[in-house]
Parts: sequence; structure tokens; C-alpha cells
Amino acid sequence: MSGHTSSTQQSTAGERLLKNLFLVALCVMVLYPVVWVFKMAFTPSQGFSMSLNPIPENPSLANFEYLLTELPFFTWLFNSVVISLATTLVGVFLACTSAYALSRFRFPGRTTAMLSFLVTQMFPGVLMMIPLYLIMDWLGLLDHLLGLILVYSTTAIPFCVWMLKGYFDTIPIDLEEAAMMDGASTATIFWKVILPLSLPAVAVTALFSFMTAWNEFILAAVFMNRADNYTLPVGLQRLVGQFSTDWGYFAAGAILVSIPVVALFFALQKNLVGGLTAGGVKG
Amino acid sequence: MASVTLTDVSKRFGDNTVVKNVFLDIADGEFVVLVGPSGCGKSTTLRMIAGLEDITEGELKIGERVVNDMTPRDRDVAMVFQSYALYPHMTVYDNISFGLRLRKMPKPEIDKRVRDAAQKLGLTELLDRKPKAMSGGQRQRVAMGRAIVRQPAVFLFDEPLSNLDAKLRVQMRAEIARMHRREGVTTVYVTHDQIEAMTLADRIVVMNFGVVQQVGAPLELYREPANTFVAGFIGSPSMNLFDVDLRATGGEPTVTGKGLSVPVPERLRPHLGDQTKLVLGVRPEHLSEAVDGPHMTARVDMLEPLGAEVHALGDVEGQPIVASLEPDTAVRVGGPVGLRMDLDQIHLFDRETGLALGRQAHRGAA
Ligand SMILES: Nc1ncnc2c1ncn2[C@@H]1O[C@H](COP(=O)(O)OP(=O)(O)O)[C@@H](O)[C@H]1O
Ligand SMILES: [Mg+2]
Repeated sequence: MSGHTSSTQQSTAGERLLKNLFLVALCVMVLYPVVWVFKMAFTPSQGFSMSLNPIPENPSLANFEYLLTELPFFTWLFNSVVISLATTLVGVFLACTSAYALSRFRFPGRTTAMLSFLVTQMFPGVLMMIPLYLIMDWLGLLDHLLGLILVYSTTAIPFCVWMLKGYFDTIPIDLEEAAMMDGASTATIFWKVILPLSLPAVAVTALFSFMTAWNEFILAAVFMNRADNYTLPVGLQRLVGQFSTDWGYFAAGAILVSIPVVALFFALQKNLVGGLTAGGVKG
Repeated sequence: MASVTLTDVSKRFGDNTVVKNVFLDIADGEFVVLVGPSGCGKSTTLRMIAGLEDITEGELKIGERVVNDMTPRDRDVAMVFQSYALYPHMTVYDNISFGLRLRKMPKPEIDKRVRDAAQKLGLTELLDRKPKAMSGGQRQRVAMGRAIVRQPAVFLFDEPLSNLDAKLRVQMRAEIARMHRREGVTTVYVTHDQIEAMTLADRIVVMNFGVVQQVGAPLELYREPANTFVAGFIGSPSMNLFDVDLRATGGEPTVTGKGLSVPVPERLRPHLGDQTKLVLGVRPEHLSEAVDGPHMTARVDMLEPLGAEVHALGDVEGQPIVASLEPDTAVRVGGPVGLRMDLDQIHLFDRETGLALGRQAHRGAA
């Protein structure tokens, strides 16, 4: 099922050339904006250069320097990191335990729970903004990092639960029964047998939770009022001013924000592939 | 070590009774095999002993303790699964020692037991491997090692060999027999393969539709099947069964069916009752070619030469038959063959109840 399938039908050289040209064109379309962001980030002026040349004329690190020294960049970074990591921990922990229960135990309300998780995914997040705002206000958590952590964890959980439940379902029940015969309690089985086997799926859900929190802008912008409570996306957005936009700073910021996500992707790459193909291919 | 006692044990899934009123006394150190066709409730019975399945009704004792409501962990039993169920993320060493580590056994003792078991099973070289990197036979051994190190009171096996190829199966069968002789641990072994049952068991329990059909030593089941089901299930090729009617011809009781007629042998006569609708059973190996005075004539449509013997498959007036003939037989496919039964070896069953003449139903059987 998996693996490389070599093309079985004969394709002429002309067809192949066309296909490749098409793909190259697509790549350029996808990559050009990214290249452009790099160009702006390394161009000292804050203008919006209209030249098509992707190479910056007088490359410099001035924009990065400004961000890191003149703005409370590290405060925002700290906020983002704390919120994202806490969201990941809380979200993944709760998702793992509930997904396990949904996968293995039969209890009243099980199907309803699964369906309600699914239904919440059908509404755009913005719809939740006003109720969430009211709840946060009521809890006194507006303008608190904890407030965002709670909101992000709960929004990430439904996806994580479905993902993990699907994965747990593929782990043979025999393994748990063998562990039971070996004298393991349900908790031991979960921690020592199920979780270690589910690392790929856990990695996917962890990355998903992290990115949900890391990239989220709207709720953070609404809930956080004091500049030293901003997350990175909110802080950077303030660079896009009402009357002028500091494109250079903004581009440099965008690059800095993406670095952790890209790094995480690379670190978890192996597990991600395993996690996303799980269920189709049983190891 | 311990005995295992099932008293009137039943299991229902919803309205579906899959194990019915099983009585079984397994002695300390005995090797008992549960055998029967797929879906007859063998695994369910085993899993009730293991504690993986609740007991709906009846009482289960291991040793002197009633264990109905005890968790698997407290029952002191170890189980080898059909799928082996090795922990894929652990090395062989960790797989085997998992149960001991959970019981907080001192490390040196764990190490000693694991190495001991590994040596007995030829796994010493593989202790650092993960299950993924091993063959089916090796995984099977690891599964056995995991059970052995626990030194449990009872071993449970659920079709442990059915995922192996034929040659390995024979080899592992011998290994299991050797292990049992060495350790002498009470063992309950489930299989649908009657050859495995015959070769391994001290006693065999034949089940069908959740009901115990007969319990006995392998040869006892072969020689004196209690009913037509056991008669057909034990022995390979299966016993031939023919519907016959009992008649008294000239004072001598005779059974007559389509294309055959034989006198009831002396030893069976005391068991004849009012029932005249019977089933005659004769094993393929108790049929021989007869030149004159055959009991019946079969038309042969297939010959299976096995070297030491030839299995002739065919029919007697539409009733299928298998006969085991001499290797140099002149019988040809399509041709007729006259067959004689060894009358000392034939069986008669009541057609209505299926029971062998003179037999009572097994305790618990409906
Ligand atoms: N968990 C279950 N729920 C409902 N029915 C079951 C369950 N487990 C087994 N059965 C049924 O019980 C019967 C006996 O199953 P099993 O003991 O596995 O048979 P065997 O091991 O002899 O092949 C089968 O008809 C099977 O469908
Ligand atoms: Mg079974």
C-alpha cells in the first residue's frame, strides 16, 4: 500500500515535459510570496517594493535588529511559548485520556460525546468569540495568559481526540489483555503500553495543538489588551499600522515566528509521517 | 501449581449462550486440551479461566480459591495468545520481564529468570531485539518465555501455533510438550486442530456449540467416541457414518443401510434398546479391500496415495465414504471396490440423540 509506485503507464517525453513544467509553475506560485517576504525582511527600507526581482538590493539585518531591540519582542515570544506549550500539554493530556476512554470503554453517552466533538468542529471559531469573551470575563481571565491557554486547549481537543481515538482503535486489544495477564492495571496499561505505541499520533496532535496556539490571532487580539500580554502574532500585527505599514519589520517578524514551527516540523517529521499514515498501514 | 475446577459454568453475551453448563475438573499438573470447531466457545471458556471474560453463571476455582470475581492479576495464571501479543516497543528482554517488573521483583531475580527462560527457549541471542525483527517462530517463543518466567499456577494457551507454518508447528508442538514435561504446570490449551489435541493432551475436552461433548484421554476419544460429533471430529480422515436400521434377521440382530448390511457384533448387543433408527460408524483405517463377501461396494472417485497407505474417497450409493487401503491396491479411480469392515471396531449411535449405544449424555450437556 505504501511505498513508491513507479509509473506503470508509458508516458512520452513530451507529456513528461508538460507535467514537469506545470509542477514547476505551481512551485513558483507557492514559493514566490515566501521569497518576497524574505526579500522585504532583508531590505532596510519599510516600503512595499514593486520590483519583481526577488534579490534584496542592499541586504541588511536592520529590520531584525529593530524588532529584537526596539520592541518587546522577547516578552511576546515568552507569552507565545508559554501559551503554546501549556496548550499542548493540557490539550494532549486531556485528549489522550479521553480518546483512550472513548476507544476502549463502553459507557452511556459515548457516541454522543464523539458526535458533539465533531459538531463543534463544524462551526468557524469566530462564532465562539462572543460567548468565549463572556465566559473569560466571568472567570476574570481576560488579559491573562491562562485564559488563552484554556481557550486554545479546548478548541484543539476535539481534533486531537478524534485523531488519537482513531489511532488507539488500531492497537490490538490483545496487547492490553496480555498486559492485564502480566498484572498491569488500566493506568499501567495506558502509560506503559498504549502511549509508547502511540507516539506518532501523539506527535501529530501535539504539533497541531502547538500550532493552533502559536498562530492564533483573533481571540488573542480580542482577549489581550495590555501590550506585555500580547502573543507574537498580535504584537506583530500592530506593526501593520492604520496609516502606514512597516512591511520590513512585519516580514522580519513573520520569519522569526515561523522558525519554531518549522523546527518542530523537522524534529517530528519521522513521527508525523507515521502518525498520518497510521490506520492505513499497520506496523 | 494448582488444579482448575469449573462447576456448571455458563457464559452469555446478551441472549446468546456461548458456553453452556460446563463441568470440568483439571488436576494439578494436567495438560488439558479444549478442542472443537471454530466458534464453539473454546476461547471464551479459556478467557473465563484467565479472567478476561466475566463468568455469567457457575463457579470457577483455581486451587482451593473461588476466583470468579478475581482480576487476572490475582489469579496467578499466564496466557499465550494466538497473536502472541508481544509489546512491539519493548525488547525481548523487556517483553519477558514485564510481568515480573510490575510485581516489583528484585532485579537480580528477574535477570536470572529471564536468562533462564531465554536459554530454555533458545532466545539468549535475541534478548535485545524488538519483536518486529523476529520470525513467527521466534515471536512464539518469546510469548512462551513471557508466560514461563512468571512461574504461574496455570498456563493458558489460545491456539498458539495456528499462525505458524506446518513444519514449525510440529516443532513448537514438541517444544510445548517438552516444556510441560519439564515444568509440570497445569495447562489448558485451546486448539481447533485435533492432531494437536491428540499429541499434546493428557485429556481432551471436545466442545460443540458451547456444550462439552466428551472428556477423555486421546485414545479413549478415538476408541470410544461418546456421540456422532466426537466420532466425526476426532480421527483423520474422519469416521464414516451411515444411517442404518436395526432388524432381527433370523434371530440375529442386523443393521441395514443403503448398500450395506452387517450383523451387530456381540459386544454391542447388550446395549441395543427399542431404538431401531441408528447410525453406523466405521473409521477409514478399519475398512479393507475384500475380494469375496464384502459388506459394501464403493465407487471410487479419488485416490490419495500417502506412501504407507492410500486413501480412497468415493461413495456407497450416494453416501460419502473414505477408506484407507494398502499402498499396492489395484483399485482405480472410477472403479468399484468391495470393502469389509473390521466388526470389532464399528460403532453404533442412536440416530435421534447422536449418543453411542449404552452412553449417557455428558454431564451438563443438554
Ligand atoms: N465479546 C463477544 N461478544 C459477543 N459474542 C461473542 C464475543 N466473544 C465471542 N462471542 C461469540 O461466542 C462464540 C464463541 O466464541 P469463541 O469462544 O471465540 O469460539 P472459539 O474460540 O471456539 O472459536 C462465537 O459465536 C462468538 O461469535
Ligand atoms: Mg478461539
